[in-house]
Amino acid sequence: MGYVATKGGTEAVLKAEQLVEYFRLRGETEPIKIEQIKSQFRLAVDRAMSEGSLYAPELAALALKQSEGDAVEASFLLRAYRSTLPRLSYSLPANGTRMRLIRRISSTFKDIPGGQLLGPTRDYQPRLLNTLLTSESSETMRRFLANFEKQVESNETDGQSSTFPKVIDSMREQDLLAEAASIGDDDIDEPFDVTRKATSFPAPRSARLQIMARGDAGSLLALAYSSIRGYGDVHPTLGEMRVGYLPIEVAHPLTGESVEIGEIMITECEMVSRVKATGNEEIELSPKFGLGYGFSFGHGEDKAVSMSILDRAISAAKSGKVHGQSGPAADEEFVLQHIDAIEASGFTAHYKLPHYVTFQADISVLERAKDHATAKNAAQAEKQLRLQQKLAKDAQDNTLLD
Amino acid sequence: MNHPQINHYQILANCEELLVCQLAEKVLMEYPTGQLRLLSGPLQGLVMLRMRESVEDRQFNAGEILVTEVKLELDGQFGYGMVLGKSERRAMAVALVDAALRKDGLLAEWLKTELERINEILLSNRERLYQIVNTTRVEFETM
Repeated sequence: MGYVATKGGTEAVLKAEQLVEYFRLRGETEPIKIEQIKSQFRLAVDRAMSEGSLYAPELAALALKQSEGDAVEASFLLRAYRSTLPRLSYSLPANGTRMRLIRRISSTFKDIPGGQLLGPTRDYQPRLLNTLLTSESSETMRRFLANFEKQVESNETDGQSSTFPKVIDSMREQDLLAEAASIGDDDIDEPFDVTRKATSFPAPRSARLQIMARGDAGSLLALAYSSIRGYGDVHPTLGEMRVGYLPIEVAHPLTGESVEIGEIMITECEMVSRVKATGNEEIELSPKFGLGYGFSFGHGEDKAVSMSILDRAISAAKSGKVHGQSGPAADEEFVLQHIDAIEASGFTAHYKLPHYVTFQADISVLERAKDHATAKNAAQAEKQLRLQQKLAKDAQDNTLLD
Repeated sequence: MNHPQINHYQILANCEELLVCQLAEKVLMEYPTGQLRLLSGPLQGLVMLRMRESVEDRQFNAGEILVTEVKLELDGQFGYGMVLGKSERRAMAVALVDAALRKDGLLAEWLKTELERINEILLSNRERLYQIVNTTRVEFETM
């Protein structure tokens, strides 16, 4: 259906903009500093960057302040800002093995080379509201930090570096992993860029990973959950999830030498899942595990884990070695077309904008349909009446004849 | 004087901004401003992160990173500075130090010594963080 533009309403629109500011400020509390959001709302900042597909912690904190904490609105603001900037270059290919880790866990093996680091996690905490936080002060914060530092002092370092080999590399050495199926349309060196070209399906794997890496954590989580709950047949085991600082390098514009420009925090995940052999003798002879890959800017565990499950489900479905094609989570087009928060919320938001003309058209159609139905009903009633009258007359005639 | 192999970009990118600015200040004191020519920037822009994924060992575009870039010439020597985030001062300072380092001489020697010192701080900060993280190293037991 086509849309008809509306005009006017400027005054009310401007007042509405002021009103949203009024509601943000009318509590008359102390203004929140960007620096505070950046450090104390770390995970919200990371999520906004991940879904906004722009690594810029200060801007993400600003976006969260402006949007009163609305995650989708904040990532929308970041995407919009991103579109005003030139792309100066591409990084040199970055590899997760170079991360300085703050967290690294695996569920495949208890003892992994380098060991497991729980890092900053709430996974083992009971979910009880901490009412002490309501009375947190600068003083209590300082005291905690001082105590914490003192505890650390007493710990000896083990002289190990903070970079670790990947668990899946040792699985590869043990020949436990299936080699990647070569998918014809994907044999290109230059990765697909969904910000420059429209995606068509079947999509190259690089496009799939890019779309998921900028996807909405909640949507990815819901679809991955559907797959592992039964609408699919992936039985995942966490090969490795790592969180840490990744050095970013670009090529020097004249000499081409690598120039490190700083470190960013990322989350990476590899999900191991058995490859179901259906009618493929080669695999039946030598059963191996398949892999899925997940990535997120910042500390985004649910997102990276969900992405790796979906990557595995889609790869399996595409290569025909099916992990249950029955569920939407294995349908590449279904997944990739519905996980972008900005696209999805934009589409939903447009229903809130003026639709009077199109709705008027809908009403006229409805009224004509009603008239038509009424006319049709009247004609039928008339017919029925005539039939009854005829039957009554016939009955009378018959009585007279008798 | 012999200096061990140091990656000056890595040190300048990761240490505190104040330290980079102090080095750049010294460079500016040594070279009259007439010898400095700004070629481009400070320019805010994006770097697309190319990630190498671990399943099929292929690259994909993982998302963009906000950066600031400066290209300049110091007494005929090209200097390059690119840093994370919106940070004109830091990008400028990195480019100045980069150019000065490439022009050998006393100043370059001094800068290298300073960079080694800063690198020590950087390494010890990193070790400290690792030491903190390492307290959560775990060995689960199966029952």
